Amino acid sequence: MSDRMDKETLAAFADGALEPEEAARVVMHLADCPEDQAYVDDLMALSEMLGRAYDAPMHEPVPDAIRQTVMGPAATPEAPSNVVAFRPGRQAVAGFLGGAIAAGLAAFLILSPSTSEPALFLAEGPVSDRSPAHTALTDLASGETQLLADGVELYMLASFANPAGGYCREFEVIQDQSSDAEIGLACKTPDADLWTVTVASALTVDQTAEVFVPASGADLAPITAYLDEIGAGEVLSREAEEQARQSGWTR
Amino acid sequence: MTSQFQSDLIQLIPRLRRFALSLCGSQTDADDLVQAACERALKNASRFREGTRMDSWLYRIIQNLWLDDRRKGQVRGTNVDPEDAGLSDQGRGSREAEDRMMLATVRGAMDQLPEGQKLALSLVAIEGLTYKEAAETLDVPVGTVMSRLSRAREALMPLVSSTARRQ
Repeated sequence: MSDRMDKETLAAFADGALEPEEAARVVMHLADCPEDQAYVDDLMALSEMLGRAYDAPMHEPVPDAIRQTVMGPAATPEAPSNVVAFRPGRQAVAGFLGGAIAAGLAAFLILSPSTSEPALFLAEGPVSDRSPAHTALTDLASGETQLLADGVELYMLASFANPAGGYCREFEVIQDQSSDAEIGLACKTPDADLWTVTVASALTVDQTAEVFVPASGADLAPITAYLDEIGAGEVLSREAEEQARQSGWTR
Repeated sequence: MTSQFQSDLIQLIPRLRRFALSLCGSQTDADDLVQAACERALKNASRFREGTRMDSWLYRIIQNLWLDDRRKGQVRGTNVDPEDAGLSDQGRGSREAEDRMMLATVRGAMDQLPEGQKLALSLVAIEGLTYKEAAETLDVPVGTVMSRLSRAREALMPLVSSTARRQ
């Protein structure tokens, strides 16, 4: 057994900070000194544990507040003061809004109070795998529509990856013959066969402004909050969405 | 209009959040720190020299802001809530309860280190900087980085050894 080596040299070895010749000398020494080898193993284990202990931010999207500080507020067109951009922070969705119901519909929400709240066609809860909604959630690409019933269409807005596994899809349900519409988020975990609508809220069409208005007076915060809570990132690209669809929305 | 500076800065955010988390112990405080650092970096963007390492510059800004806060007696990094710490990784990479507890223990022990030791250990062991880069970031000699690392590791090593013995 050889004499023990000083700890700073062993630490420098574990940190990869030694010149090659000196590192080779340490390797030779460790072969003859199990105590120092155990110490180097512990140093490496500590670095590995420290890395894991603070690893979470490397897998999370940049928080909106920090992104806005760095990149500035998302560019939005001129709009009346009572109009806010649709879902700030996930702008990619905005381009889809209203595409199915009327070309040129503004991608804004006017926040105004409303007295009634229509019943939701696709309310929160599991979606039967025998329903057209299940097929739509499973098969539609973002930007596509599918009939759920006479005069009722589901319009797919966007898809998001859930960091914990599975996916979420944001959709609108639009009823042709009325001014009612709804927006929701359905999620699927890898071990589940069914989609579950996790957030749903009613919208109504403001006939004068030709925009959707939240019927309850609430904005889309619940969907954004849910996506933020699960740590969902940006909207999936069309390619990533297609890959997810082909994999059966499991990951 | 997005500048190259902004694009480079946004790419660094995950690492800056990790570094700040290792100093603060709570993601909320860490994000406040990163946000303040970004504001300062943008304000002083003209002082950033092209061709130098932006990450080292940002690490230094974060370090200075964190130390300023500590000296003012603000809360960043004064404690760590294991529950909060356990939630912060949302189960990724530490699915087993024992594993989560162990990582929370590491975070708790890290939080007890003196400032200089914590900074040196975070930059070298977590951020992967060389001793020379860490020394430049901390504005101290390389020997000081090495001695701070050594003391920090001496403090944390029993944790690793005991964990290793249990496994």
